[in-house]
Amino acid sequence: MKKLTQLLARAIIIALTFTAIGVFANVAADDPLPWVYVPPKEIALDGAQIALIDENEAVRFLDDPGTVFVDSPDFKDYAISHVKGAVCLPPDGVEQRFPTVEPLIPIESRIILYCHGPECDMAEKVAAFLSQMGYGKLLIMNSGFPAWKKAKYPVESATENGAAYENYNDDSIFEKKVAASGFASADSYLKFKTSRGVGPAKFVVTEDSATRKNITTNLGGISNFPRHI
Amino acid sequence: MKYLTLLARLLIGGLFIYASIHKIFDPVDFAASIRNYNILPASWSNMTAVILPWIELGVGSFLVIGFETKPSALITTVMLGIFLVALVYVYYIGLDIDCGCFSSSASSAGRVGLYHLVRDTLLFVVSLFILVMDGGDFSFSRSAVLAPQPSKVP
Repeated sequence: MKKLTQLLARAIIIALTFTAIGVFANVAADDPLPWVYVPPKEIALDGAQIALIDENEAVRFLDDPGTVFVDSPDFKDYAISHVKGAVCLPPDGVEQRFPTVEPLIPIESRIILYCHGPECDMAEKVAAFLSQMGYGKLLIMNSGFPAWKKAKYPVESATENGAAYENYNDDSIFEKKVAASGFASADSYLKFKTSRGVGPAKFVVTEDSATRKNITTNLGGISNFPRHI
Repeated sequence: MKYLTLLARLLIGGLFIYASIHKIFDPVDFAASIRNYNILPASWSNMTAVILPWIELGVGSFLVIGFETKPSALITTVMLGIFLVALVYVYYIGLDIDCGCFSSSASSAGRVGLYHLVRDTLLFVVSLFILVMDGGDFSFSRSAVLAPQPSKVP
């Protein structure tokens, strides 16, 4: 026992000694790191200042019809879990992808982008792109999706969203899903989904499909929506 | 056995020294890595990033040169154990972050995977092996270091 205590004491002395060296090295450095990290309040992207917010500020906008959450990691992660109602717009191939999601993010809406964490730059890349596209009310939830999940704020998976997210780009898959649901039409299927609070509040639609028109009539959460309808 | 513990010491010591260098030179990046784990409060990340690499460097050097090997092995074992818990947590919740193990890179590429878990588990076991089995061979004896040197006064 005495040996163990001695071992522990010596380990603590060693750790404290090198802690002191670390503290001294930082104090003596040309550009010492502040002891307490304070997250930046905003970043500059292509000349535009974009405010950084945390999950507690972001959640206040969750039910705001003028706000759209944009999930910027990748489709795989999006399918597993994302902020409830978020649209998926990863930086890879953002130019090609944008026309598909554009109907969901009206130009005057407040857009809250997020990715994996404070240092993940994917939300910034998408924000820079959206800024170039003329979007003015951009916010980045800098703490990222893990912090959102940790705070137990509402999330959903693609399956809870009514169907796999990408499936909405494919009429045949969506129609099969509607048929399998037993509902007479896509409209009644989506009404049911929406009434259960798991409806596809904000997902991808295109203008050339009767099914999609039905979907958009059920999109209660988005105002100023039907530019393509 | 004494050669095996020496080998283990050189391995763990060398890796700790190697891992500490990038972090000492780029604490800002390492602090970002720590924040990505979402385990410690973000406000603590800078302080941890400033202190931890020096402890890594210190105990790594001690293991290599054979000074205070048992207490140093205790520290490396505890550090690897804590890191293993952090990796398991990150892997479990599927966080897509770089492990920040050696190059302290906080880039979005390189998800923590099974490879990292296996590697850290092995290192943890090797470190524990030093802690338990090291018999003080190829080391500065504590008594020799601390004992008064014989006087050379004629």
